[in-house]
Amino acid sequence: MIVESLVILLVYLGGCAAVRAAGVRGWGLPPLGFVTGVCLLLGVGFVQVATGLPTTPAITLAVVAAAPVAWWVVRWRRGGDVAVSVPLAVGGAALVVGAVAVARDANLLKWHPDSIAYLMAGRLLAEGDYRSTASTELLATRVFGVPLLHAPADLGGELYLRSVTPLLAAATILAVVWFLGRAGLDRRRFVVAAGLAVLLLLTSNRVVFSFFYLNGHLLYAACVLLVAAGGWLLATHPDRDARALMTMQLVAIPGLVVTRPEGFLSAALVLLPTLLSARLPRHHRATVLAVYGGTSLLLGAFQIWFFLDRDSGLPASAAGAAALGAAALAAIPLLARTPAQRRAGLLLLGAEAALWLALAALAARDPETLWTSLRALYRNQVEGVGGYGLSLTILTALLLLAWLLSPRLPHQAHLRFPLTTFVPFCLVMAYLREGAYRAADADSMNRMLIHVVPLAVLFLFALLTLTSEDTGKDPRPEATAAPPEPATAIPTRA
Amino acid sequence: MPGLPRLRAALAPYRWRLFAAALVVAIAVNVLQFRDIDRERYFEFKAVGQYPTADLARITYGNGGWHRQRYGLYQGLGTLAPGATVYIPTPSPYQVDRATADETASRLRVFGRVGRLEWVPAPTAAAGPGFDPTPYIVASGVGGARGAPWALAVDPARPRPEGPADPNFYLRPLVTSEGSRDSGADRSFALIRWPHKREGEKTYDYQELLVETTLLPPALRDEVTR
Repeated sequence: MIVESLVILLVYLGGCAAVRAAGVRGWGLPPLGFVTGVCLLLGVGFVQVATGLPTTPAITLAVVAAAPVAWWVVRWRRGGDVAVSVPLAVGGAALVVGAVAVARDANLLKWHPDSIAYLMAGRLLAEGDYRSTASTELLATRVFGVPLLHAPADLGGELYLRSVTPLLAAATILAVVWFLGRAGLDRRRFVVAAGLAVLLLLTSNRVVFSFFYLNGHLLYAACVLLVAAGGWLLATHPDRDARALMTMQLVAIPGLVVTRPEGFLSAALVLLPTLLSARLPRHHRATVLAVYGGTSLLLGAFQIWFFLDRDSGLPASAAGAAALGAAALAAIPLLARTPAQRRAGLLLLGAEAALWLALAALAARDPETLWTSLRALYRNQVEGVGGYGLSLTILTALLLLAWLLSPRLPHQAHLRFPLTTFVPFCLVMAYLREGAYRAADADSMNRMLIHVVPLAVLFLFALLTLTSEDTGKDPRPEATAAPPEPATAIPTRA
Repeated sequence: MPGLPRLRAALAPYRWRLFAAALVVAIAVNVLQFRDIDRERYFEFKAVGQYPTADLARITYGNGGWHRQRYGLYQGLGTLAPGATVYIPTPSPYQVDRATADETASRLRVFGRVGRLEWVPAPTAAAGPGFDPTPYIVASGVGGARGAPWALAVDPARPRPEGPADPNFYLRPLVTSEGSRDSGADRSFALIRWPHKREGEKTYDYQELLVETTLLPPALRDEVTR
């Protein structure tokens, strides 16, 4: 109990210090701070593993807590608006410890054979045995996100952190509400929308399941949310919370890349609207691309070294991650070329079309895999085999209706693109993995759907509640959007 | 769609209320379906379900036959003798390729909580334990699709926790994957593929055996631990 409380407090402290130094204040600080702290834990831990540094979580936690606190102190000494109410900070920490105690006592975990493999990798990392002992299969199929998340449990002799998944799930749902609130709703509409959004999420059977499931799906969903919603708010209100949103986007990128075996590919889809948005400062987009490229290259290079060290045949994913990472780094100078930015909308459309075309080409060669996967998707979501009931079917229908019947939401590509590319991406992945998806709650695609559920709920409520007046009076398409207006031109929220 | 702007305009005053009502219906459907969804699932895949413990080893050992097949032997070692040294006499089926060797070492380190792991050239010991360890087997498990039958033989002179006398059930109330890696006790085991068919076993004509080195005949013990 004591060790886990300390671990969670350090993650919370580091994350809160980072987002507070970046300008977040108010009730959003604890949930956003916790999600950010978790992302930092993954980022720092991944650098330790991939660069040959000792992988003990004691070092990871020290960096996760100390580096953001140092940044906060620097900002504070320079007179930045980063003050923290001591009673509220102490109260927040006490709440976190209380939540840890409750979660540890509840024994509400959910597990699956994959969970065991993830936790094996976590303990190997924590005890410094990963590089010498882990199998190539463990590296290729389980990567690092979940293992790094739970590795600190080993400091207390335990296999996993009992409280981190429930806390992360709660923080992710509160982050949905925070993003919605920062978009500019009036208070009354915000309260109703927030209540409905939380209820919609908390009544979904698989969302509740995700609170306790020892796996990386909810972690991935949190990272998708930070990147996509952060990009949307940055484009919509360039002067509001910009530093915080940029910080959260940047720390979430390693989480996207290292949590799933296909993470380096799906991260590219989530990041594309941010990279192509003319509304976002070029230096930030360059940093985003550098973090993505660096993480993917490092992951690919580590995997290549690992497989060569074991005289094993290289998997395509290792070479792919390294190549895509290198290409991303090489593409940073291209961000300076305006024609690409002007055609952002077309480029997004092209990327989406290419995904569907790739799927069509693969299906032409092997229609059975696509047919079986689509049938599994139907059975999982419409016939209820997947455990979601009708929740995702209804959510999809409401999203489609809201999209058709609402005024155009400015800069919606940030929220829409990761959603509309998700299904074709998953279907393409069926051809690159062991085979078609199946009708079962434990099926990969069925579990992966949770990756976009928080984002889908945010998009739905943004469509329903926001008008161009709420979001900066700029309903022009992303492709032709003007650069950010001066800060004084857009009213800010208190 | 040409009529869409007109429809949007017509619905504009009511849009939020209409969708709010639809959302309330969606939430109600979720609530109504929640219990039925859980009722149709295995315990592990219900949204909510409380275990008597949070120790994953005990949960998986008790709930999943193939977890016992795959990890039971190693979890047993970690429960009874954390921090032990494990020798793997070679040539060994556990080092037939790097992937098998890594997987074996991972299970020994993670669940067996071994303090030290050594692959030692010991062909005689690798061929079998050199005696019948049956009287010393305190825990064992059946084979199946996920692994061969296994047996854990410990020195009776060493203290061990009270548990069911039947080796097939001994670990159930005791097994753990938690606690310190170092028990402070100086114990060592040998991991050997024992060419002896488990009673009733149809697929495998051998058992995976972890045997405490003090039980080995002196010649084999010397070969393994020298």
